[in-house]
Amino acid sequence: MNRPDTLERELTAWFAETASPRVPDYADDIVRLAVGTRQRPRWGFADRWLPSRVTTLARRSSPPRPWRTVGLLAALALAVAAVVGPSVGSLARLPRPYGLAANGLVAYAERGDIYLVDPISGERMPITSGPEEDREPRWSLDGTRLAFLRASGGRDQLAIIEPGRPDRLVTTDAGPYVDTDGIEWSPDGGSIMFVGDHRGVGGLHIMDTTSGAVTNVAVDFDGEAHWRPPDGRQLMFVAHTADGAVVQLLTLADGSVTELGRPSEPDGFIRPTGWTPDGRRAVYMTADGNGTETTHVLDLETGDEVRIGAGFAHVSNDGGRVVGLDRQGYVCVAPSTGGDCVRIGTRDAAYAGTTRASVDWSPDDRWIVVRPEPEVGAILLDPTTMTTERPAWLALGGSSWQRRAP
Amino acid sequence: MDQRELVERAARGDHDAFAMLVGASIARLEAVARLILRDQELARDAVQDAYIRAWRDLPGLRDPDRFDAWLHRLTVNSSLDAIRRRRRRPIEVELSPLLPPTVGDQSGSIADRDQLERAFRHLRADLRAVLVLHYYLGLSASAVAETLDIPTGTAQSRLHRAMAELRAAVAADERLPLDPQAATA
Repeated sequence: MNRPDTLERELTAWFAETASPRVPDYADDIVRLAVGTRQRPRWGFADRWLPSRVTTLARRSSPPRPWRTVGLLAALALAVAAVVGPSVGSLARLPRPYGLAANGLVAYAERGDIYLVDPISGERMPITSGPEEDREPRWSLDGTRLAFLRASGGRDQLAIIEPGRPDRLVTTDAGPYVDTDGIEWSPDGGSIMFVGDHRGVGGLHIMDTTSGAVTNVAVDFDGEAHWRPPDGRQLMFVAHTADGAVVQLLTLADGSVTELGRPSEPDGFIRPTGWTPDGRRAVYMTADGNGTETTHVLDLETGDEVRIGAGFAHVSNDGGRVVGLDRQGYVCVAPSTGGDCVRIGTRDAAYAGTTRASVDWSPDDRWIVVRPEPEVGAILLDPTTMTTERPAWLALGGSSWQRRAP
Repeated sequence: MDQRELVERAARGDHDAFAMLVGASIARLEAVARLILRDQELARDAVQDAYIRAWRDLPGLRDPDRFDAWLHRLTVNSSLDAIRRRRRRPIEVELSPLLPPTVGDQSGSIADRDQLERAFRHLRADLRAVLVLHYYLGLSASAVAETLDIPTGTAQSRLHRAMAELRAAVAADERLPLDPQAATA
């Protein structure tokens, strides 16, 4: 790795000065409180009885819900169906999974439940309720279903719901740890890729959205992955190799991999951030030892590569632009064919460390939604006028915008 | 008695063994929680929650040698949960400052520390967590990944982004006018 710079040394010293370890006076209280609770019996941990390298697990599970919750959800279903129904009730009106679409409802999490908000009317409607902590909603690419994380018993579960049909909740069979940066619907909606731990197996997994079955993708996975448009038959991901991290393309049918890119220097940083909607150009970023971030737009047919001076870029639905972060941490927009990355807004609009959870283009590319902080109000950036708006309907947050047929 | 034996005994319900494990680790975990949360009371809640989870789930810990990494994970998760719970409450808890710096070599660095403090507060909690694990506990990127149960690449990504955010926040802080009225003049 690179030698620590001045700021890293300052940070280390500041940590040491301000948080010198000391035994708190409540240590004995904690011991008394902890041992006063009951330990889970050894047989209560299912993974003790399963092989540690499980690759496919098929099981469907719907956790028991209190009757109060069921009743409330049933009532909500009628209201939600009236609003969401027009867009999801007819197969003929579903949008294509990639490319421009019309703007639908925006999903967000507030106080442990998932809500939808209509950007036009400002009307809000809850999608989930109950004691579980639900967060990080993601619309399917056809705008018919929502995936979200449900925390229960201290662990995460990936859940899928059809708004207006709470009886169709599908969840993973056991509580995995799920990385909020790593959740992505497949183009056909039949699968969701997620990064995390499932039954003791860490890495990249694919969940069947109908059955809840989870399959581990057996690659030397070392970071973010993206389905390749338009059919999702390939995945771009970071692989761990003897030479360090590289971006590879995995063909799911035969398991073959092709290298797409590697860092600009040994032990450098590399991460895929997406595709153009035709699946022809792969987008990934690198950063050198000085922290200089570069977005690479690689044409897989010609081998031509365009470089943009920004990191953590996210491609617009029409494939013509990327939104990223410049060296000073400002949000900026650049043509995907190359050119300057032009700033939008102030530093307050900067998102942190992820492209999926914190920044999203509206389906019609009219807006860029940014969440500088999880579960805090979102901001709208206008990539045409390069201005910022804070509409009231986004004051409670917004993390995923529903696609509707144009 | 070594730590492995203590872990095995605690997993069988031995209160004294668990108390010794707590005694050996609580100062470190409390510091980690304080740094992530920037709030003394929240840190106490998070540490307490982490140890309760640890006691409850110790029988399921497959490898006693991974106790420290596991405990760090519980603490980070409890800290992030504490923030989520705080957001679910209608009244936000005011952040309180950490303990004042201990006396030491601070030649010419007080202003830098203040900037760091402000910049660090500006970061998202999960990014603060990776910085604390890496720069306070001294864990490598792969150890951070193991602790948080995420791929090494993801840990590297978060470390990289966290430092980039910190740099940008410090730079922005340096550009702020000291006199608020000067900004509007």
